[in-house]
Amino acid sequence: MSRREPEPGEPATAPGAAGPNGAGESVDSPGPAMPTGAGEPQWRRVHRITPLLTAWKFAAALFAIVLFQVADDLARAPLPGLTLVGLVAAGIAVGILISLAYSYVAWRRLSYAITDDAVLMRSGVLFRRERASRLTRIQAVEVTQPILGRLFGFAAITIESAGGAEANLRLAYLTHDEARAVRNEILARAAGLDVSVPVADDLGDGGDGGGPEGGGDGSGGGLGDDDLVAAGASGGAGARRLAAGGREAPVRVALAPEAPEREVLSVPPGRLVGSLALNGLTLAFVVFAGVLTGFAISLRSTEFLFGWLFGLLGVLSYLWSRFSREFGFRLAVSPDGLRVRSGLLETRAQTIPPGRIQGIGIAQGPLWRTRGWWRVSLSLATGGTGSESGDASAVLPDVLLPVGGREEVLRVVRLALPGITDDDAQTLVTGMVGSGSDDGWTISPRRARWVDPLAWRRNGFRVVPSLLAIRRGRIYRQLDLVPHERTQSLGISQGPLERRLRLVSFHAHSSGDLEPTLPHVDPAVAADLLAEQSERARAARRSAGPERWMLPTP
Amino acid sequence: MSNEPAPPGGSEDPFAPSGVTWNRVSPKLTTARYVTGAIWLGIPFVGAVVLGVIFGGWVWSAAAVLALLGAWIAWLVPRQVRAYGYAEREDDLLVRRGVMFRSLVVVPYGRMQFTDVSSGPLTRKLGIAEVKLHTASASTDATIPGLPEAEAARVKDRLTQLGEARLAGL
Repeated sequence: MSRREPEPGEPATAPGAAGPNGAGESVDSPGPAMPTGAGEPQWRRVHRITPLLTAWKFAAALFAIVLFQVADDLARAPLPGLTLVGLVAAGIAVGILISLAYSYVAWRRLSYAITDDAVLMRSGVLFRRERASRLTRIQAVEVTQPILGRLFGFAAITIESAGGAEANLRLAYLTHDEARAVRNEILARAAGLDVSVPVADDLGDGGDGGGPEGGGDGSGGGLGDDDLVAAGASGGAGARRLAAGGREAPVRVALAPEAPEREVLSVPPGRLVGSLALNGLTLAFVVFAGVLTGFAISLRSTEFLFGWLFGLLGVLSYLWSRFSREFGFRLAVSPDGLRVRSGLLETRAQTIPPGRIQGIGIAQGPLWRTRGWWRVSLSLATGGTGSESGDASAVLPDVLLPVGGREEVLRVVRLALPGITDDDAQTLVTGMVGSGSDDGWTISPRRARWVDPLAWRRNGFRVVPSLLAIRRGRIYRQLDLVPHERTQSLGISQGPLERRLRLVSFHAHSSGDLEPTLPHVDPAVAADLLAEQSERARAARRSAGPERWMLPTP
Repeated sequence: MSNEPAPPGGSEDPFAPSGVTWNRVSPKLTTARYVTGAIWLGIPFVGAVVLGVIFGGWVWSAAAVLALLGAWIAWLVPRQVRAYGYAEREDDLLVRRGVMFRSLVVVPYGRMQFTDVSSGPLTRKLGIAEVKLHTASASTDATIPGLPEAEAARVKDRLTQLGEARLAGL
């Protein structure tokens, strides 16, 4: 799919189409012969614009370091002004050249391949690295477009595996269409579809955007909703034209058709702003700033004002990161799983295949209660993707719904965890707002009021056929849902105070950020829950769906 | 369950499920922890005594506090070591620990991602090692310290075998 020049002996049409691995078994390759052996993965390269897009980061870092080191020396040096300016300009030019050269070498060394089993990536300038992400272990695939990429029609793909942000495999940059095509190919292969049948259809001639209808044929394997595929392909025609720019290599259509998707909900910007304004942090800050301003006025001193300026920066940056990440939030469903889109400057489209969701948390703070808003967060076995800057500390948790009403919460949760039946939906409602032992919830015994006077009637659990629901908190309401087959391990614990009151806390250990804990239950209840839940998890694992979600259950 | 009377079956201790025979860890772990504690407390204690001799009076209270702390640890450690237990059931491993803060973890073999066997210079001298199980969840804390080396190797091999046989996805 890459837009490099076709190398000698390589088929000019649709590289990668002829299915890297195991091409012999499924393809009666009608096109030109494969240049490489059948077992050899076909390596592709990311777009050649990549060095330019990445060089500026490197240049900025280099510049900052050098400036930091030598600025003082330069200022003190007995040189005339013009020479100084010349020196600095020369330094900058050298810096840019170095970073361009480095980025170019890095780009030359970066190649990737998609086989039947894994996504492979080779990278590294001094220290070479080859990484293989097994398709069955892919937890999510994300297409991100940083602001520069959006301007010029480029995108990056992050393939998330379990094991933290370190385990992600990132391909940057490709044209947006290509990124989506690669994403679709990865997902289709991961789903167990055979996408190795070549679609020997070049899209248009030099990019007049014509004929996207060729994309859906041939390889559909149950996915091919041609209208949607065509719509998807033509949607990006503008960007493609820009990228192709009438040059020699025409961009090819999606090898694997994009799974048809249906939009389920979107969060209007107004509600997002409102939800952030009704945030505990915002409120605390407003109160704090008000008090300090009051001090400043009554004492006729401006000292206090500086105190909250720094706080203001922190709060604003947090609110801004929430806003810019969750702006334009849209959720869609497709056979490839859930597709989450959001972003103000940097946009992302994350696809979460079925069976990858480790747990779901539904939360409501006291300020959101008047509006009936909830936040649904999602626990994946990955470390998250973070932002484009690659800063691990900037990782925000994955959300399924940044803010929404009860109906939306139910809809989203039922899409994410298909095992939930209509009866269970009622359980979700009592789990969100209910308290007491109605509707099958088991709550803390009365003696727990000594350690938990407010929430002891709300803290409780309920088991439904597909999952364990744990609710807690009266002021900050929280409902955790852990599918039985995703439970990693279970635990109970007891502190000295709990021991006196004959209470035990129960923990369901799930992968990801969620830590479902049920505080203060009766020891006998905890013992039963521990035993039964182990058995349920075992049974659910045996009947769990296949990792390649399009294949029939074995 | 909001009623006060003890629920049916309430006599069962959830930390001791019925039909489980617990394996204890080696008492040498007590020695190892005593040595570590002696190093961490002994050096400040000597310092405090020296200061007490030099300055006298209330300065001795520092040494007294350290001595009390040492006595408490000396009392606590054997109990902690005795409280450690593990049991290999058919499908899962149970690990329990703690005297004041008790906990019990149930880890299904199929959920195991990898196991660590580790020992430091001191524990190696004593011939014991620590086995730690990792699942895909960071909150799983299944650590069995103080296993005799042979037993640690056996537990590790057995867990790996069982994990292989019952392997499940994430």
